[in-house]
Amino acid sequence: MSSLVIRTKDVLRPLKRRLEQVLPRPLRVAAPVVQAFLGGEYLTRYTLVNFPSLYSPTTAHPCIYDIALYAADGSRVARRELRIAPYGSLEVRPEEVFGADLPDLGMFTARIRSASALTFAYKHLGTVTSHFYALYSDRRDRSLALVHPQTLINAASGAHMAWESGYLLDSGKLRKLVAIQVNPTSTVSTSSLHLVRAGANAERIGIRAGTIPAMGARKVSWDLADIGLTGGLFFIAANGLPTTNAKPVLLTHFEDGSFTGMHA
Amino acid sequence: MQGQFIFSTCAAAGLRMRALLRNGARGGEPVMAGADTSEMKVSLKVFHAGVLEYESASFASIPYGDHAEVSDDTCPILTDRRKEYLLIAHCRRGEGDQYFAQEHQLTYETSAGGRSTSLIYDQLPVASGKTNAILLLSPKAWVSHDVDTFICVANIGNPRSDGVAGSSWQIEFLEQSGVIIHALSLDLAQNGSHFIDVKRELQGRFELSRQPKMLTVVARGATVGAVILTFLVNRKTQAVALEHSLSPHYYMNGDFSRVRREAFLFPRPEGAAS
Repeated sequence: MSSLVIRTKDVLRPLKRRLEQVLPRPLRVAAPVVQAFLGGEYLTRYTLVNFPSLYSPTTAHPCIYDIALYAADGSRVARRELRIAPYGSLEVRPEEVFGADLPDLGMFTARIRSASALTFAYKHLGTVTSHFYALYSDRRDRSLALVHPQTLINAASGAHMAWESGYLLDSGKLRKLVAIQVNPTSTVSTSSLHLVRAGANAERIGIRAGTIPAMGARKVSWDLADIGLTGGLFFIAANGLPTTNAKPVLLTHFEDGSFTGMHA
Repeated sequence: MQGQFIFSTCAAAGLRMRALLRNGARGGEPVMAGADTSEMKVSLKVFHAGVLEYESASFASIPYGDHAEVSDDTCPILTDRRKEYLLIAHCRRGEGDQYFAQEHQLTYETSAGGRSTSLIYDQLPVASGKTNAILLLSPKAWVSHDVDTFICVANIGNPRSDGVAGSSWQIEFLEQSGVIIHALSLDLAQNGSHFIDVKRELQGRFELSRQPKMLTVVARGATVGAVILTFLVNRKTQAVALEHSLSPHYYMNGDFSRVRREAFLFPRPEGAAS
């Protein structure tokens, strides 16, 4: 870059900053946030909230969430635009928002944006990332699993990651482990999951390799007794993840058939 | 290097706590070449309502890749389920006093047994004594005839200038329309755990139904450190779920001094309890 260009940019930079301060600018937003969707025998709820208005309450505005649901094969089921009042929130029940014909497994995406392009209100918040939780339950309310936001669309690839979960699970108290993986990228992803006993013996148990379609999902299940995990602590690990934070959602099933869950 | 893991027994929610203190790579990341893989030494303090009731200067020495358990099996004072305890595990690894990130695991079991829920989160820096405004946004409270939500604030606080140990917090409960249906002002004890039973707080203010309804709980306070956990419990089926609250740094990156200043201007409803 020539010195003339550099000097010109240096001269214009304060003017640009000044203009940015006085001109309206809609909310600056990060990529859509992703959570797994479970249908069929499960119920899924998402908790969208107009959080910019709570952090800037004297200049609160409505916001819009652009949401979409994808099936396990990566096909888009539907998308919607939801408006949320200042200080408001919305419990998204997918069967009410997208219709009753939903897949058993998939991926939900949400991205917050300004309701108006002519607002000064939220400049000081910087770039905001959609912030919502997922609640998974069974249809008889015997089980509850609450999970924080999982990852962003098209985050950095985790294709070559050797990942180990920080959760130590007690095989003596569980009957089954279910892992849900989503692939929030535009390319097919390969991932291999396995279980490892905690301690010196790092033998891989129950290896489950597979591909996950672009914008799709897969579900992997282990009956712990079938693979010899009937006592002691163990953890889940992976070779390759769709993105660096696309760790699986785990559903830990107890002896009575109920479950809870976590972002591994 | 050092850090402190802050957690509560949550006996008031009818739960039994088991903590696994870990010494290893954080977040599943591979061990980096040259990483400190030395033993982690743990001292433990147990408080009830701000009073130190148990202290062990050498509670555990954990080899790299291993863990140590904190529960009523390893710390007998915790067998008293009538008391709500706040625990601080001070973890040291290697040389120096700078902070090192390390996740630890909490597991809570229902008193009836058989059900449990787990969570991992990072230890915090050892408090500098500087009080900061803290904001909680909890868009994950549900209530119904059977379902209740408990929010546990484990507050390490600091003595206020008037000599009273504690910190002042404002808490609002918002329905999905954005209307504030209840507000509280609380003075939280230093080194104390405080439980907010959402269903009990909303009694007579919010119509319960068979189907759980979602609410948002917003809290503002000043402290040197707090850990805030949200439990979702179905009293009828004994189902239990747990999550922590993510700091605003996870979902915005702007001017946090201004964010903190302005967030405290949140309107309070007329006649709010204080």
